[in-house]
Amino acid sequence: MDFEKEFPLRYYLNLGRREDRRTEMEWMLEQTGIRVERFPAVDARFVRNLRGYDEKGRYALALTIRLAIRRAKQTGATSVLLLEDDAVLHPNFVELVNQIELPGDWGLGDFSSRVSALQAPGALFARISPGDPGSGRPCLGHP
Amino acid sequence: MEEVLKLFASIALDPPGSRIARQLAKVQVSSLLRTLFPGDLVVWRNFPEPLYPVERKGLHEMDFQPDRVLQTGSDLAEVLRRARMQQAASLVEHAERYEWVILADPGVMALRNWDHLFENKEGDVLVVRDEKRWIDPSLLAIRGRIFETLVRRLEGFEVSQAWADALNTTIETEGLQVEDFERGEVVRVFEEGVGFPAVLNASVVLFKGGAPENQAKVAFALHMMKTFGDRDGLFLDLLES
Repeated sequence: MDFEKEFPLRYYLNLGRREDRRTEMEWMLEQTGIRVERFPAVDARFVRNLRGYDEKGRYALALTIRLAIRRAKQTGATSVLLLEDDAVLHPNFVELVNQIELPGDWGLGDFSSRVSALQAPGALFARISPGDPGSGRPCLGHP
Repeated sequence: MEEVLKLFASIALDPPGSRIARQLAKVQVSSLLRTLFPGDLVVWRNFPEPLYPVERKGLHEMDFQPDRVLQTGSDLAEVLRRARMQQAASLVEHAERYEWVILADPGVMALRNWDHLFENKEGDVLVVRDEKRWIDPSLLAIRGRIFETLVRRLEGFEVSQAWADALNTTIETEGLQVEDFERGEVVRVFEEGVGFPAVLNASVVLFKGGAPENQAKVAFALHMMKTFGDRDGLFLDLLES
């Protein structure tokens, strides 16, 4: 796949109060040479209803991912790459990703479970259109 | 991350015999400079003593003399309202050079860098709201390209109308994209129910609502804590030596 073409929109999820992770992430992205926008994460402090999740933090992350995909859809993007702010990218992240062939009907994916050399836990991607986000086939490590 | 140039403007007016606004303004500017505020800072002051005897790059201190002797209370509020309008009008010709123009009371300080708060791509105006969801005029960020339009609208209001009312009416009815600052990042210290953890986690704190003396005390405490830290108690040891 062509990384730039497949993921023109890229967010990293970050809490405002985690300036330390923001700084690390900005530095790593600069080293890796890819541009990724910050997406403000929902703080678990403000979660009142767990809605079936076992921890506030997990629900806050799920909500953040949903909001990020919704924002991506509003911008008209066809797919989005989401990085957690503690993701560690391989120095050759883009080259390694470019070697992956995605199935034509992919919907959601997770880099971390596909290629261990990618060193990218917390790197998800979702196809936005047509229809609902992630309506296609899960790929890269998902059953 | 792309650096977004900002213009920060504040007004510090002290009634005779008081130095509270000066102290707040000094903490404010120090906190912004220390957290690497990218852009220019303009402070209007009515006291002769500069905030910094030694010039700080990017900081422009301007002498401002109200047309009457200041007294606390409603008189000060009215003078402040006129001064804010004058200041905003004076910034119009510069506003387009900046992505954001930030208008603030001296009782606003930075506890962390603000850059992430201004990565917003959609909003025309970024606001803080009080518990009743009214826009708090203590801190307001306006997109540079619409600053002049907004100021011209505000100039249409009677001087007697409260600044907060004029702002709320203008901002909420002009078809602007108004967005709140990121949740949890801007905290009103003296608001009911706000605890110390929330203050420590914020990147911006507002002192509105507290008695002026208490505002200055809290500002000083937070600034000392952020600037000098002193995890090991060394600073206190030095003071006692």
